Amino acid sequence: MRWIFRGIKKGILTTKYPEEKPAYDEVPEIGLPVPDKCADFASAESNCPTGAITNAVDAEKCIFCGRCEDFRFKRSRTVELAEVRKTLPFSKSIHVFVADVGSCNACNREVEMLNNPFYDFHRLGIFFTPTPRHADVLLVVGYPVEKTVKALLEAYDAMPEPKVVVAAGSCALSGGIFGEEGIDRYIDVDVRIPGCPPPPIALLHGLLKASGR
Amino acid sequence: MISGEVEANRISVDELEDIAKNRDVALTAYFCRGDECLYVWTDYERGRTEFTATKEFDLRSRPLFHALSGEMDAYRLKCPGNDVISLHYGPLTTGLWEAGAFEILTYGERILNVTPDFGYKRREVEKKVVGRRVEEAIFLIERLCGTYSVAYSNAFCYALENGCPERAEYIRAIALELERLYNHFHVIQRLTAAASQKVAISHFSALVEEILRLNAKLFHHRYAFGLNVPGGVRRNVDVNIIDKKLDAIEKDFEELVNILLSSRIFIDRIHNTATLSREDVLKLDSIGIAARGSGVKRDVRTFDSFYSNVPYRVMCERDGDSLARTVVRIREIRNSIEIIRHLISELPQTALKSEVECNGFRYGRVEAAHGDVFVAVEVKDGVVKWMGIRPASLVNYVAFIHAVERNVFTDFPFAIESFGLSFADSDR
Repeated sequence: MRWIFRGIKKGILTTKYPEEKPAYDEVPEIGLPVPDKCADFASAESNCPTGAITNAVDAEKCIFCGRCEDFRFKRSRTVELAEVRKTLPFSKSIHVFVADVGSCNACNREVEMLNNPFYDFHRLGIFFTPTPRHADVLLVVGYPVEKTVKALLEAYDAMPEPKVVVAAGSCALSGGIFGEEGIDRYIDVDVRIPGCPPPPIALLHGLLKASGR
Repeated sequence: MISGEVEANRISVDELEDIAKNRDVALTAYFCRGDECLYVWTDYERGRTEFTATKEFDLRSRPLFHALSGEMDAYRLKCPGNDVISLHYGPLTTGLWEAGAFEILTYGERILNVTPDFGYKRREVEKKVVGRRVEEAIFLIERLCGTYSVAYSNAFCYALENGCPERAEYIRAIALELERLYNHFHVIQRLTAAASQKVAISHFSALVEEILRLNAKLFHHRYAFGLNVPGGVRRNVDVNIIDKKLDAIEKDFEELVNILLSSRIFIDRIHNTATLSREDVLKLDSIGIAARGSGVKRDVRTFDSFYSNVPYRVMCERDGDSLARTVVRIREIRNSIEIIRHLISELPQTALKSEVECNGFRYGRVEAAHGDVFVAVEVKDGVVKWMGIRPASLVNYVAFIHAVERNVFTDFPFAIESFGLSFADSDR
């Protein structure tokens, strides 16, 4: 009973995303770095730990470390950077199987955070499922470690058609700070969500894109 | 900050066995370095870290040794009998949220033995760091375990530096306490999730999110990656933002904890679950929350000179069950809020960064949310030559293995969550 009163007292916390743009509270300056007018590209390029900065900033390689801020780059508020190649033929209700192939636990935590009342992804018809047999989306996070990739491929084979593979985080996309290659070597990725780790709004954006919304 | 030179006494194997017999010193770490073995010992009472080097030798008299040297098989029950079912749980499950596996031996109801199966997340951070400049190495250290990133990067920085600007030290301490807050909230949330208290899950995960958003505003990253640089910190903090938010969080937390602890259903599940006695802690060299929940005051902040001017107290409980560990966490949350308030009220006005000369073989230690982490690093002209990391989860997995024995199957999630362990951490 006390829980119920407590809940009513707290009010509604849930974000208006995707109907409205994310508020400042949800996404402050944690997005992709953008160069200033007088940004020092050469120094930023030589100091970037993953080689994400060339003539532009490669979102998939960027690990959002903030080192380029010393060379007049500024952090933007853009986190909705997902790229889509293939979507599911249905959009109202999608089930997601989360596969961690060697992450640092930050991506896992952000995926888990989708469940909290601030994002509440159930309202958008997205659900986690404990088994790949019920899944439409395979959400891959982390730097591919050989031993786990075997399990990932088994999980992929167990999924029914139609299915899409979503890779989230710079480790899964490009190897990030840990290596040169991401998950592409093992599996075809349909939706790519950059970030290190991608904040929940970025994940929501990517998952909605995967369902064609 | 706790840091210093690694000066190892070269001793014989017999002398090492003598040290191991003295239960007052805890085995902290073990590294194979070239053709010699480096053992690290801590006397938590006197606050001393000591190093001994021997020729290659397996110290079998301390159970923790097997975990530190990566032989988890040593904890597996041999010849459990014919009726025993062996269950391999993992690596891809939603229950653990991480790529890790457990080998569980059971008759069907009681758990006989649990062994974590590592290797599913091995990114080999310690090897990949070698040969990199320290400014770059820190990004790898942060991503060793994302949810304890501040603790690791602080320890790494303290190992490199011989003193840093005061303001930087304060900001690092604030970031560390914020990290402790969200991890403690998260553990309570997982415990309520294990007890299927749906409303409590929402409330506590909202608290986690509040702290992460506070982090995002302060450090431009939700997990404070990129905050630390060798020699100081990259960003200044806005005191006003913390002040306002902290009041709201504290009020929310007090109300929630009041309701949660009056819930008999929840308390029943964690009371007398996965009990770790005081003797077990001393035998298994457990650290952090696991030790403090069983009445052993092991916290590296107690002998940290920085915390002597801060309203910090060691939180201890005696019972050693999941409930005791949860109570320790609740009391630490209150203490952390108090510490942050004190730190922001006395934030000194000095520079944020200073130049560091990185040379030598040094160590750093920091108390993370789950236990103390130890980082030893050998640097020459700003390039890492050798690195040894002793994660806290690895030590407490041994405590968990011992505590969960003879518990019933449904208590498994309460046992594992109350220790706050992470596979990314131990499987570095």
